[in-house]
Amino acid sequence: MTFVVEVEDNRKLEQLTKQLNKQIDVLKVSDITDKAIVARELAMVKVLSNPQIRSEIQGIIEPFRASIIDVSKESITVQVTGKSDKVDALIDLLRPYGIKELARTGLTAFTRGHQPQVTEFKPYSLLK
Amino acid sequence: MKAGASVKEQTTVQTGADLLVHALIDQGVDTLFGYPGGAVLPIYDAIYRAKGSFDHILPRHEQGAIHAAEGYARVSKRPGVVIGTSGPGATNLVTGIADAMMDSIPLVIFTGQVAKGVIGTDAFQESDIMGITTPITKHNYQVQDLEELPRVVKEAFHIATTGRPGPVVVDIPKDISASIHNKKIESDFHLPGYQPTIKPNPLQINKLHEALLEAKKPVVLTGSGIIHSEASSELIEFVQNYQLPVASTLLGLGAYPGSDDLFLGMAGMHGTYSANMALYECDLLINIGARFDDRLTGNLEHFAPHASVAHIDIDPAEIGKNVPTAIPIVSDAKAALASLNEKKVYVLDHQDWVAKLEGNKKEFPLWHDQPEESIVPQWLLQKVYEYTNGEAVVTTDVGQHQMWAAQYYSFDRPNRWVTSGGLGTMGFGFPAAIGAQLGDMSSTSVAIVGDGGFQMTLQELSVLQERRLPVKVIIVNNQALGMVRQWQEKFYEERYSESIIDVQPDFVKLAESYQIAGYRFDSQKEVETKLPEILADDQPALIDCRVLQKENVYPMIAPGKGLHEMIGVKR
Repeated sequence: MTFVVEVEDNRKLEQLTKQLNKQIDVLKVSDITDKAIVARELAMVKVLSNPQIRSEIQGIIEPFRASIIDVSKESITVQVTGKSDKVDALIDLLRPYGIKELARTGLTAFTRGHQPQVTEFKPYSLLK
Repeated sequence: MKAGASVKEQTTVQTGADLLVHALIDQGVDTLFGYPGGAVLPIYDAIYRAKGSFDHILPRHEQGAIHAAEGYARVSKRPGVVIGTSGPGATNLVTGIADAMMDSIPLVIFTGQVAKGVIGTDAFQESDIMGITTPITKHNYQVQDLEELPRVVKEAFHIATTGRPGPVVVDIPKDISASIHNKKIESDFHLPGYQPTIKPNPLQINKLHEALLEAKKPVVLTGSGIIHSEASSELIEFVQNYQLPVASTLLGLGAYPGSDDLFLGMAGMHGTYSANMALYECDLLINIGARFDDRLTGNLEHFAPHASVAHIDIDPAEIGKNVPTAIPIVSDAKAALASLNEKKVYVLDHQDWVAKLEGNKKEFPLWHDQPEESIVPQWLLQKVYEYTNGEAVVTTDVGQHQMWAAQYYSFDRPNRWVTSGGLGTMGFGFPAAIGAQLGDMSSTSVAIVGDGGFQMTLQELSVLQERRLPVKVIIVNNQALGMVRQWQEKFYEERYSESIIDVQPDFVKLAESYQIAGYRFDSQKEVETKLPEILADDQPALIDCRVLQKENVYPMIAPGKGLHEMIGVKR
């Protein structure tokens, strides 16, 4: 499970991980805030569209590598995967066309197989 | 155990409930605190069949059952076992579960549940006890399959009694306890996510040892973790080796002998001047098994401001939670103290410090008024201490009487003091005394209760009537919710809103209606002439002691103030 949390300071963060660790069924808790990670979120957006503007939308979503997974007379459903800010950006671009429904999974993440050394380390924070 | 084995042989067809009963016998359970009801009928039928295997205590309210189990667990050092039915039976246990969670008391609580097929349909006497108890238990289970039951019972006892102890709820749907089985069921378990750290990290022990040798003003804070891990003898050795002054939390009382010169008393909101000033001025604070509760620390900004803090706790989440910690030691207190005691002992350069604290102890002792005839509660508690030679098991509710008991009843050994510390539960003391008595029949249990709290669970007088347990109930009767009244006097300009309760039952007649001897004392003379005999008797008794209403608990740290800002230090 991946949780994104907003905490005031490191002590609260420490308490959070300790409390999670205390749960009997929890095997391991990793704080990956400052690690090299791959993070993804999936969103599905149902946008109002008629055949005239369908290709226009196609042009918008293409750079996001999103795909159309459902088409009907009045709407299309776009599926997009990526970091949360990318998903946000696409949703903002689609909003003027009229969003009928929206579903987001929330973020899930992994640490990368190779963790850079501290000297070449560029911090990536979910909080920023 | 023997009786249980014979039951096993006799019964060829077994129900899930029989399986449960055998699992309890296997755990060595000798006392159950429970109340029957619809969803636990199969379990009570199995208990009936297993008669003689254990003693079943029937309280008159489920809250009485669970507080009694807490008292039993605290004194006997074995887990308290509770059974309640579904719905209201289970919700009536909630206060006790939360109380046990706050004070780390090992309990295993079995609740009945409606049959699996109707869970979630608002069935008769259904409540989502899993949802309700998740935040107030160490762990909880709802048994989904008969085959899980023996393993779940084993896990529940293991989790409740190891690491930092706590309550575990096992919710058993009625169809599971009623279902028939006839094959052998495996009960082995493995909990990869639950591996408490028992042994301390030797490097951290070295660090603490070095810090100790450098300290000029060291102090030890003893918490109930020492009592749970039965580490008193290791603690005494450690303290004596280095001649360290000792302050205690409310729940840690008895871990270190209260009559020893190095013992400064209880610290915190109503702690002694010398204990609080020791925590305030120290340069090394060694916390062993305490959790830096707000009633101990006062305003955190002024808590041990000059100290390097070492904290030994079996629960890593307690370390650094409230107070920044320089030397964290995740460990069982007994193991950590044993490792420390293996180190070379040096004579510390702290004689001035110890002398200063002992001077404080002499110059600023606890004080109270002493009128000629009327009973003041502090005096009463001193008399109870005197008449029981400090040997009784003392239980309390929460409030003024609790603080006076903590201040004036000095505990020289552990497991004599049973109080609701973290949750502060009114109505705890009396049923806890019943459980404590059952947990240690060789001592007298004295319930020190207020007139308010006693009226929350007084129905358990029936248990005394039935069992003739020699529990002595001493009502410190000020006809008020004393601590509420004290705060209203101090912080709400004497607006005594709903805290003066002068309409009361006649407690003597109440006791008599339960065939228990009842007494009412209004003067010191009555206490002095009659109380020693009553306390020495082997029968239950209720003593209504009328004390002065306007007595306050001093010294005191007002809310939001620091340890050094005590009021009422001197008369």
